[in-house]
Amino acid sequence: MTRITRRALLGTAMAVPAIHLAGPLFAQSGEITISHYFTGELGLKAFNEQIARFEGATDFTLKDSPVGHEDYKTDILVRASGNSLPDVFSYWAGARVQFIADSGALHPIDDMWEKAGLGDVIAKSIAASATMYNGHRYLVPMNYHYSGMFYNKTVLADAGVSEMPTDWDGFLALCKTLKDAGVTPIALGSANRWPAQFWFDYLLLRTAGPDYRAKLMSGEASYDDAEVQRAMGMWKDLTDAGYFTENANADSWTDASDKVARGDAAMTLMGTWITGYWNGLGLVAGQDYDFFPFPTIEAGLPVASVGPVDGLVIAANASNVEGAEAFLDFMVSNTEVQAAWSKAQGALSANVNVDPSNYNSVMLKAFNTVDESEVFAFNYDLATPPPVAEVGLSMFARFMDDPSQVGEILSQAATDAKAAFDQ
Amino acid sequence: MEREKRLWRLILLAPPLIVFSTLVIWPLFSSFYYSFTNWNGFDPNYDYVGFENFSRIWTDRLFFGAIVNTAIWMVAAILLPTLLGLTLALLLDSKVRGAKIFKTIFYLPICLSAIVVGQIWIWIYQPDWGLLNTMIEQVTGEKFNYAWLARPGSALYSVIIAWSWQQTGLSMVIYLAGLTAVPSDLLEVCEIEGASTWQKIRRVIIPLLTP
Repeated sequence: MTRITRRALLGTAMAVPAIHLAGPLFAQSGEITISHYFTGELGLKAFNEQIARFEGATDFTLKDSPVGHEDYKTDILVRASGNSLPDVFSYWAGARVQFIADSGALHPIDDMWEKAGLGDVIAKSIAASATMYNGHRYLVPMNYHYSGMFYNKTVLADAGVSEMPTDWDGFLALCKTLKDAGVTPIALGSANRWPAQFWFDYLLLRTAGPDYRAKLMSGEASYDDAEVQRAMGMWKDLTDAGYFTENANADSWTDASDKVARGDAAMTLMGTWITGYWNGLGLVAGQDYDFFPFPTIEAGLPVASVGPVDGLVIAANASNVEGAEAFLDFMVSNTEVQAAWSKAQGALSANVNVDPSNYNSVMLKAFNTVDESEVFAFNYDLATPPPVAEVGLSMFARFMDDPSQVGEILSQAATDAKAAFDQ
Repeated sequence: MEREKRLWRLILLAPPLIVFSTLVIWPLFSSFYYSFTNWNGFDPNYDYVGFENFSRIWTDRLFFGAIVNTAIWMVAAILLPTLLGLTLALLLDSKVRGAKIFKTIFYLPICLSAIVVGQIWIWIYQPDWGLLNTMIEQVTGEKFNYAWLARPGSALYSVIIAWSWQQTGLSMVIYLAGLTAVPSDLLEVCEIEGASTWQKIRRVIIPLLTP
């Protein structure tokens, strides 16, 4: 039997961590670690293709670890708290980036931004709001999405609808026509809560306006204000009239999209990523489906579009800052990458130099709608700090479960949101 | 030699001890420590706040809901599989035709992974075309699309049923093994003395099965 001495044991015990500590020194100098949420139907294949382009064009290699979209929201915070963030990671512009930028977990990219001349590249509608936090640039946007009322063209044509509504009365008339024709007007799949937020966003933006909404998102207004009550009341009227599919909380966003694709429901308020999903099912943009912008409710308010911006950020303690900056620059500056990526994602390109003829007719319309909007607002869970967003998202789920409780739900949300802001 | 033996014990114990300490003991103590701070789980900066978090428990609406749900789960998820398992074991222990096949079928769920069980029950509970609602529709002849897993009133109980369905097989097998230890001559005496089946179970089998 080999004799094991205490000294040998101690020696091994110390050598193992030492090798681990020395590891980074021996690691390939051109390696960049990256994590992102582009999995499954959200474009894993397309993202890997862009990574390959980058690796082909430079001496860097990427080591990636994708995480599912919903898990990513907590996963990245856990890794940030454990100081084990990858060099580069994808993140949603807005309050989430603000949240981690405030804690100093991000590397500012002002110098790289200037050097690469990104100011002339990034779409104006999102440039300032998505990239600047506390006076510094932190995020490079890859693409942005627009939320609109996506509908099944055949279903609407069969119900005799040829003109899409532009105001609230027109929208209510459309819902009634569809309901009378035996079709559920609106599909909503709020099992993961967030798909319900676009209703809140648009109803509030169209009744109280972007300024009031910004106040609510930053804690200067309360969830039991008359403005919020009015927006929620209009939402309740729609549910009371039976315009929504039953059991919204039992369906995911893809379930709801399937219902519209099959013709079980007529339309769904969703982001442009639905086009990527539907195209994957074999539907044709402009022929099988189209969208119309959320109708105007109060005239005279600034026209606002809602949507998220997907971007890339660099961790403050990134081991390969040079490579990380090169990757961020490449992903947004390279028009081929941008064109391929936005097409696969069903997204709008963050790069103004991408030829709009790259888009199909529906995406082109989305592009123009955002372009003509006076305000581009981040959707709810990206517009308010994550702890508050939790309160609101749960509020939407509770509301969809039992809209008759709306008064109690709002006063509870007002208390909980205040506590979350004070935290 | 004795020294070497002790060393080996230490070496062999080290891996599980290290894993247990880093994954259980250390997080246990650090979360206890963090409970006295205002750390948001993420920010590197936090302050000591004493018992403030604990005093907030009394006004936290979610805390008591979580406690009640945990209690319901604990009682139901232990009682249901145990009682069902015992009933099945008693039924299968008497000479039933095809007992072996039944035992296999009842035991099968425990061999499935949690993901498979979850998926099966998602299909059963699916509101529009799920097995359960379809059966209810067949019986009543009326449209029925209750969302078992998405409604706050039924979600917990629906999951408890799925859990019990899987766990019953395990307790059945354990009780079947226990039943083989009940002496058959004792049961024979019961029959001769004119004890009813229920009396046999209540007065003889269950006392012998209890540890």
